Amino acid sequence: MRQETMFVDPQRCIGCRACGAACRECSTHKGYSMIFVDYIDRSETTATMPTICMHCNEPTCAQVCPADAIKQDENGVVMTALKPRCLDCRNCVNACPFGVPKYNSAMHLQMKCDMCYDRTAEGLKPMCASVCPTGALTFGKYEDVVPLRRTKPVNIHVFGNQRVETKVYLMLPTDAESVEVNSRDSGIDPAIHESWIDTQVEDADKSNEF
Amino acid sequence: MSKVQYLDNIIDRFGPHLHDAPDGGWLADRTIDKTVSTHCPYCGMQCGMKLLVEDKKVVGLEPRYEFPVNEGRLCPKGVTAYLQVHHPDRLQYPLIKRNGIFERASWEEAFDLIVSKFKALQEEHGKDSIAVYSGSSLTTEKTYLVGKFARLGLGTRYVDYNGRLCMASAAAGNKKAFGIDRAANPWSDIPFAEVLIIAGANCAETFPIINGFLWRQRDNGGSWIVIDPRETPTARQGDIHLQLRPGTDVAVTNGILNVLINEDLIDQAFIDSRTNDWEATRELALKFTPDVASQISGVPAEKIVRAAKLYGRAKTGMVMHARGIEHHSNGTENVLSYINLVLATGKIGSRGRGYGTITGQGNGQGGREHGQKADQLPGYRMITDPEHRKYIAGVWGIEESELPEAGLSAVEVFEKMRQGEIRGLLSICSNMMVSLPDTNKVRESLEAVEFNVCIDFFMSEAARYADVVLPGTTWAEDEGTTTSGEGRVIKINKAIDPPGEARRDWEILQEIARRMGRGKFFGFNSPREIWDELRVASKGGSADYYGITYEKIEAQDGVFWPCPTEESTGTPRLFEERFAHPDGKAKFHAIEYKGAAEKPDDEYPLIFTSGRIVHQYLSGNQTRRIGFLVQQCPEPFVEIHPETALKYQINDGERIKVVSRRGEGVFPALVVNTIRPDTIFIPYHWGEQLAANQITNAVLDPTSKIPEFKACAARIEKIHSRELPILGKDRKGRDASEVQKGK
Amino acid sequence: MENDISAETPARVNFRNPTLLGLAASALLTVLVIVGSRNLENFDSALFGYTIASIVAFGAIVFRYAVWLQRPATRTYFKRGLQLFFQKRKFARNAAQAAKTLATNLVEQRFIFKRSKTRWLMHGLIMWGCILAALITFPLVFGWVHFKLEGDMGYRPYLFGFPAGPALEGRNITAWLMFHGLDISAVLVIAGCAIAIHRRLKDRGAIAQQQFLLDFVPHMLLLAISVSGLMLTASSLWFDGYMYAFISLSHQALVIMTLFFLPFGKLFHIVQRPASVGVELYQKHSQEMSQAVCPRCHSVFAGQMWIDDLKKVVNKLGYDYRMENGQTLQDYCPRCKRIMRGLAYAAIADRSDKVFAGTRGNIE
Repeated sequence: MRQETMFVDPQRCIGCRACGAACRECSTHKGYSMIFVDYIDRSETTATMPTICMHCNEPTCAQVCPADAIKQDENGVVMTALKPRCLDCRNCVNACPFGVPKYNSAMHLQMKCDMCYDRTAEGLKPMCASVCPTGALTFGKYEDVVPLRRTKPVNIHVFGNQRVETKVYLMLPTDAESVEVNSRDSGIDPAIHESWIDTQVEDADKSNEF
Repeated sequence: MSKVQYLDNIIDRFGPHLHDAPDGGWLADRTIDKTVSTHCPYCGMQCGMKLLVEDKKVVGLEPRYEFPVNEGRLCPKGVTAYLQVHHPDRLQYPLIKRNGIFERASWEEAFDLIVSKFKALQEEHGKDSIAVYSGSSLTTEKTYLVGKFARLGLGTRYVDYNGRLCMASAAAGNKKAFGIDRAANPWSDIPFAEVLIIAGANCAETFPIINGFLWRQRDNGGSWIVIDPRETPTARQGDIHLQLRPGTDVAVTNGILNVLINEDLIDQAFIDSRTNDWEATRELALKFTPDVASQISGVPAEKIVRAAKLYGRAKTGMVMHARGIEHHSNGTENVLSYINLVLATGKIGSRGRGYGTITGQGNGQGGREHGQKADQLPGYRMITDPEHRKYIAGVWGIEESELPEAGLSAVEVFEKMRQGEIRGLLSICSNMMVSLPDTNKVRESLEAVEFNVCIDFFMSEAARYADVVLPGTTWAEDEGTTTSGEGRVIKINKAIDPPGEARRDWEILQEIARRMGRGKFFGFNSPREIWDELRVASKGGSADYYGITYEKIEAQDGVFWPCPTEESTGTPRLFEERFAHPDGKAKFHAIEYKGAAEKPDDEYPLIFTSGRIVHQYLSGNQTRRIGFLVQQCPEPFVEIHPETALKYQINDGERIKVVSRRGEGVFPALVVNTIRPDTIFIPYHWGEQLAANQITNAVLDPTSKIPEFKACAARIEKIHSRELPILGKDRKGRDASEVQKGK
Repeated sequence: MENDISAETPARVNFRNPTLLGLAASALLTVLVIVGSRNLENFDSALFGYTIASIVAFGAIVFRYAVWLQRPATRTYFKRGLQLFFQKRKFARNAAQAAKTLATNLVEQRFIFKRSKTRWLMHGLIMWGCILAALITFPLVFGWVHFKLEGDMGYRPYLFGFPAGPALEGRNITAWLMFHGLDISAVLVIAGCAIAIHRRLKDRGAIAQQQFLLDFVPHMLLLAISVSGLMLTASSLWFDGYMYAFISLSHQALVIMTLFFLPFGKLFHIVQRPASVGVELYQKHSQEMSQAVCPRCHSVFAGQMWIDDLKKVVNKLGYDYRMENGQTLQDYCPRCKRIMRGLAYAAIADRSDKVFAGTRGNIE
């Protein structure tokens, strides 16, 4: 039997950011949201991309941490940086292939989604997956989620030449094996025109400062 | 007579200010004294939630997983709802405006002033010189009391409520076609429908939690036909999107009906046995070939055919609609034309086959059933019906002749204020300066009123015009019931006491009535006592609540009305065997296409439409003060298609002027492909210079008296502004929801 | 790629070998103890156990530190930090800046204040208590400081065998403070640990994440040391040395355990934290140098030197994020990484089941 994990289904995302609001209720980072919901291109579509920590099996963020502050627990959950150790070097922020970790320079601290450690420890669902209106974020066991959906959970991303395997799944069409960020289709070239609603977010949103 | 003279002063003292943390800050080491199971104070989904109480303060929330409607799910408004309870902007003591400045007053002073002014006005100008204007975010108990207060406490015929701006067309349409006004199916039927027609409903943003049902339907292999002039998130996610010209729904529905008839996809047996008036409807529909429909609506004919076949061939299906089709001068007809599709295919009255209106306000359903509507009495009784009048007079212990006659609808009442015929106003739970159409006229009305009392827990844009503002309570400080969009009566539970000197709204109304010398009708000591009288008052009416007790609601996770007896467990699904007309049949209505009252012309070449965004609730009086929500969208914008933008040389993010015959406003342009080139859109949640309703047309539907928020003629003008959208400049912290001071 | 860390050839004797470094450190400290106490002349043999434990713990810490420095990211920061610090012409400025960082981060600890005020108080109490205790005990333990009775004048302190300062009168407040310094430090540490333990029992976030061995044990050790230390004072002052030997032995055992605990768990941050001076220096410098521009949205989001260093580290760790357009994933700002993934997701063809129709991008 597999462990409970998150299933992210961006097609269902309605961009409401209830997850972000609810994320602030988690005790390990009370008051700060660790979730991102970005327009993929508002001038063309209302589609949004929800991003939570995917909890890589071999997390780049933990490897590039000079202070060895980012640990994985026995279930593969990649934890927020240990507070006494984190030096606020922000290596993890820029190394993470998903753009997930956040930092705060005044606090000398990195924080990231730790899959609601405080809630799962008590048998509760993470806040974001509890409130998500559409099930774009779902928490459960693989074998429980799959029969409910017409899509296929995949936990492989390919960024350039790098294959990244994660604890968290993304729901894909049934004939897809992975998400590949490597080509023109994935917008790796300069964006032609992004709407102000996409681009003119504060510098903080680009550098992930919380 | 009260103008807003010192706006700066009002905003400084009463906001809107942004507040974004629970009382005492974001602490993880709280000791929770109690967890209160209740519901969200916002929309008609009435999602279950739990409030966490520490030391008599609401300090957080916890999903209410066991409540069957939302199973813990909440939208961002719901998640942050508890932050309004201890908001620094909360009104905590009565205010009396003297020389344009709100001054703190005692309750005694405030009541004395109100009663003396009301008495003086009524002596001089008659009972009907005072109007009561209410809202549907109140509990059903309070809405019942508002109706009784107006008619017995003040003796005025003028009572109406903001459901006129919300549910009136659906209510009228439902009543005409089915003989009863309630969603035909519980939401739990949605997942079993093969096809959903979602018309004029941006569910994703306005009823986020209904999306849980929609996606379960899709997971079951279902598909959606979305009818909307904008490619909303719901339209994007749907299978077929009919992107019609605003106001042309009737053409589309008649077109679909035409295909259904020609492809023999109608259910003749159902039509024959359970409906009336099919022939006229059929004949009319035959004129609307897909090409004709396409020409009027701008939807490709091929898509209309595809949609009709998809819906027609499916064994099960549901039609749902919301304000998009209802906010029209022919809103009732729009509703009826969609009901025609349901009746022609016989898709109603069983699991997965049905119809429903998606109610906007939290208690939009309950709020319109128990007598705060100009022409209605409790239990959905009509004030014009002598039998009904007699029954209610009996319940209230008065002579039938003492009961005032029918009043006028919201917009008409405000017009009478402007003309000086109505001289006093008591408003509760409503922010007319945002929600009523044609803001400039509404301002004139409020400035013309001689004495204006407002009950609210925040200083709304409309409250600024009041002479006396009385502090009411949020939903967390009182108990009572509401009826959700699916007709489920649920129970709001009290978490804490009102802050400061604030009082519960029903206590305030009762006290005024008592001081007006009408105390014997208002001896309630608790919401439960009001509820018990309401149950009796509704008994035998079409919205029969008699069998619904607080205990039954808690035990059953809500009770669907009608529930006429103590033994009844309620009625989740209607029309399984018969409709509510006396003959048990439903009615077809042949609807000719009229379109919007104001059509584009050379001077105003674009169609203007208004709507909502997911981060704000209605007039924004509650949500424009919550930091998180405001940060997501600090100000309204105007959506323009790139082709139109190119034509007017408008850049994305540039501030432009939007002008109609009623007024104008300046908004940043959001140039997007998701809107029609002939249409522009502005979300309406803001007031004053940011109000979309400066543009809208206050023309009314003749039956439902709903204003035409969703279509009018407008033009856009380039003003060469260099000011960037607020979102771009500063997304955190700034009180961006407010009009800039000094303007 | 001369600067590439991986390009360096290993020397015949690897002076970076952590074991060698650890042993060398222990040896060095032993020599210092012998020299500093004038060939053990001033050494208090009662403290022998402490001394040995300290020497072993010191070696262990150096070993652990050396192991830590072998992490590619740490080494990059370490080397780059030193390199930037000793830049010609900028040395004075760097020193000033490092001093400032030292003051705000390590002395004032403003960053902990920003995290939480009670946490700052807690940490301050424990830290200053421990520093005070260390300043008093280690010189005594190593025999670097000792006191000699000088007739009626009182005690005169000696540092490395040289007289340091005037003789202190018994009743003098300075003397009292010095003799009771350890008691004061114990009180500080007890107060700090009380706050910490209270938080760990009440804060839901802390409760969820803490581990007994790593988070509770250090506090309990510090608490036990402080309490037993106070008991020693109490025993000698008021109870005529009742149970003194037993308490003393327990105290010693606790201290030795704590010393051995230093390289592990949360206490390691004591020696690790000062590295933030280097990190901050690095960040400041990289801010002043040319900036990395996101190739997709053209926003400036980090220093170019930093991103280049990071890419090397990522590469050395065995990852290969190079993409077909010649960019590396780390060249993009975090937001663009998220959006690119969104676009990649939206671009996945939906051949078998039309469930995706229209749901990700444009309608049809």
